[in-house]
Amino acid sequence: MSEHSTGTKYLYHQDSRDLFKSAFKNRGCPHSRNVMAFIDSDEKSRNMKTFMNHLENCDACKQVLDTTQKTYERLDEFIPDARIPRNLQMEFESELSDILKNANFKSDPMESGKNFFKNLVETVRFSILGR
Amino acid sequence: MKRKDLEILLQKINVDLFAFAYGLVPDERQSSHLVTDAITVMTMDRRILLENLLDSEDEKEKRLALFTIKKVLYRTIFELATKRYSQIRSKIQVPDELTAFNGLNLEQKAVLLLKRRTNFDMQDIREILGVSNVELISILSAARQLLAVRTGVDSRGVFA
Repeated sequence: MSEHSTGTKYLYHQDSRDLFKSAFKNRGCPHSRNVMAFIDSDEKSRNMKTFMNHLENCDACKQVLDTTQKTYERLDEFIPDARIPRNLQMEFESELSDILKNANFKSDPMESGKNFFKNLVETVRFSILGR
Repeated sequence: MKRKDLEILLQKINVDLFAFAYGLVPDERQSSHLVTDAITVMTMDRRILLENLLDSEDEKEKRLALFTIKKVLYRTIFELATKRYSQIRSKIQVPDELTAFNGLNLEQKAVLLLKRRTNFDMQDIREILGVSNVELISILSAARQLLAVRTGVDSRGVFA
């Protein structure tokens, strides 16, 4: 019984493989559909070992991988990679210093004391001059 | 870590943050404001995270806290850009070389910038943009396809 069912399963599997092969006869390898996902997958979470093994033996997929990577590299040329101008970096540095001074972190007791007093003065000044 | 050290680290990170902000909103002044505002928002909303970094003596903990701060800043810049871009869009003069890229929507631009111009992995990008894995792959694919059409790249039919 078990031999029979295994045999049937095997035949069915062979049939589908033949159908699959003929359907993709003129379109290279059907596994090349995985190429984009493969390129985007992370090194640490790369659970595409089956496809990696397949890549080693499949010239069609290697070619698709190569073409796709080259296309992505060409597209990269249109993705901006701006550098901050010197004057804006200097402005940022001075603003950052103020932002952090006013942040009043608890781990910096001297600063938080100063900031508390400064904020109090600012609040009083605002409430008097604001009227 | 002292406050001065945090300041120096943020000054260094600013180079990457500015590049990201400029990719989203192609105006130098506005991009610089986005970064400054994102840091201001973080000092108010994520004070505990910054205090943990300032308190920490352990190198591993510091690195982790810094990495989280970096992701929070990218996320905040994206959120602020989403809110502001529609208001300032008409006033921005887009440089010619950025016309094709600027034709993508903000989410598509953000995904391409994070994927190709930073070292974040897919999980980090999902966290920054607050999307699922399927959504991220879909946005990435649509962004590439649209950019390929707008630039005329894809003569070999990769996206066909």
